[in-house]
Amino acid sequence: MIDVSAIGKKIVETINKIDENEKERSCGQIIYSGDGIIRIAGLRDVRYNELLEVRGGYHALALNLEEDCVGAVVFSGEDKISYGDLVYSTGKTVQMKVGEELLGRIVNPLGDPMDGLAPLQTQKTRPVEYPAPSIMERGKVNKPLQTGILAIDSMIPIGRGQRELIIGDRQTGKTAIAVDTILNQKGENVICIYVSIGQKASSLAKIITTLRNAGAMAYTCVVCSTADDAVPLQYLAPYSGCALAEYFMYQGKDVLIVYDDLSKHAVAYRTMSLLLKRPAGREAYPGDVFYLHSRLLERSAKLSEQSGGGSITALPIVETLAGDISAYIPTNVISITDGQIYLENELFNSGVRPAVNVGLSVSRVGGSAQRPAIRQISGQLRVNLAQYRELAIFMQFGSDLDSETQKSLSRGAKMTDTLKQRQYLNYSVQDMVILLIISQSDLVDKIPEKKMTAFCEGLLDYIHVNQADLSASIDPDQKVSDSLRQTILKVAEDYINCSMGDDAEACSAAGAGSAVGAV
Amino acid sequence: MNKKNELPAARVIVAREPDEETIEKIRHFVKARGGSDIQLVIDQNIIGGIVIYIGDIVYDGSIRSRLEKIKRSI
Repeated sequence: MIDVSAIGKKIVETINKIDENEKERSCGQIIYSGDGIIRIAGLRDVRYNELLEVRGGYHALALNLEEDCVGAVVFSGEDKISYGDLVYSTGKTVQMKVGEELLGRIVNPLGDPMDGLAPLQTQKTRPVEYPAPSIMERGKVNKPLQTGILAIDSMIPIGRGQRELIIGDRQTGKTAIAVDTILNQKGENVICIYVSIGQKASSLAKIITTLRNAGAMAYTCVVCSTADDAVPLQYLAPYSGCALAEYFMYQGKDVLIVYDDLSKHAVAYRTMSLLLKRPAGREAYPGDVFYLHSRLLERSAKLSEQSGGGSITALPIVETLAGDISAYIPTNVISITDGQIYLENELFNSGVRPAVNVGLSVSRVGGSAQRPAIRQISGQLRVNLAQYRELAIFMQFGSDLDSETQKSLSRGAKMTDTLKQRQYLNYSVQDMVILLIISQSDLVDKIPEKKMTAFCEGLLDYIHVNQADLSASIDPDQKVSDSLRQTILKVAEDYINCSMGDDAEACSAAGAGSAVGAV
Repeated sequence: MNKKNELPAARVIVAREPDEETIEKIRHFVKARGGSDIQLVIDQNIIGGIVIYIGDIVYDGSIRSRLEKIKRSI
């Protein structure tokens, strides 16, 4: 039974808490309302970016302070606001609720829960717009952020505090990389924030289900604004997410934030700017669209040890049209970030997944944070792959190939196959060391073409079950010694002989049996 | 906005006709905050209390706004 008296008591308590004192407030009257934009006469001492309160409890954001009126965008209730309504200034900027309570939750850009669970108890807030850490507060990126994706961790390493852009056409696996990276942070002591900007509610629901099922929501907060949310909320979402990330960073924690995606953010801002009658520039974006993203991404940083040593690693996502990375928003964001992962439609369709274009993808600061073991053995990988691709293009038209060329072509193809990786199948650093050593050794010649990806997965399963101490003996922070390299190659050779030989069936049966035994 | 740089007249909204003493108090309050004359408006919609506008500044001590505040916080 519901305790009525307790509810009554709670109500009385709440009413008593309300500040009865009436302060003087500046006010104005709505003289125009349309498309989510209001113009207000009066409001003499309002400031830029100030939160306004419209009678009825709706909120608006003052963006244009003009000679005779104030232009503002409303967050909700635009259909309930009418001409002549009073608007009050609040003296505050927009605040985002922050705190540990937000982990595991789905909130909107103002910090209100959207998951239908209990209201947030946190009293702590942070301004949505906040200056980036100063020069002296910053430290050097020196710790890796493992994505668990071999192609990225070996050739485009990301460090904690770095901003790495994920760019590509629609349906090339941009979000998949970001989600995989979030999943791989389990037990890594990294707090993850996934900011969805103007996404379809259906795809967002899918991502949230994935995170939930993998147990990743325990360290993740989703800041969501879907495609049907008011444009100002879509505009605010990345800044709100960043405010939450900053809260953790200034406590000395490591945070990973995914902005999915900034092209929609730019579109939302363009909508607001055009409706506010700001002058349009290239592609009809307003003049400050560069600053829009640069001030957001500058807030991702690695703090120095004196400032607590926390970090925000940002993975902004930008969608291109027909692979055009020289459009306005892609070039802007490429120049702001510390590198990009470029995903290509053609690669994706030909089965190379993740569809990372190794030639166009770079990481400008992550190299110094790469684990020594990986750095040692992946040094040649990028060059080898580039050579293979060049050779492959050149040989496309040739029919008679000498055995040497054929061999290097087949090796290149197998190297590419090694980098293929199923979604949600994250490799540990030890796994990566093993795969990288084998894919660059002579052993690959023994593996039939087109079997390389299956071989890699099979080998790792075999090692996890039968050779657990081999994995344990690999120290990612040490260079790989020659004896360790030989041991790895020996185990792989055994596996090849076993799985490719006459007794392949017996071997896989034994492997399966021991796998079941291990479970 | 007052274009002639004159002191703005204060618009005072009350629910019932106030007595002389109260009007004198209001006039004193308005003068202290830069208003010139007062212009009294009776409006039952505010239920009770008083709302004073001096130029762009509002002092809202009405029962209606308090009830709205309570409604929002519960």
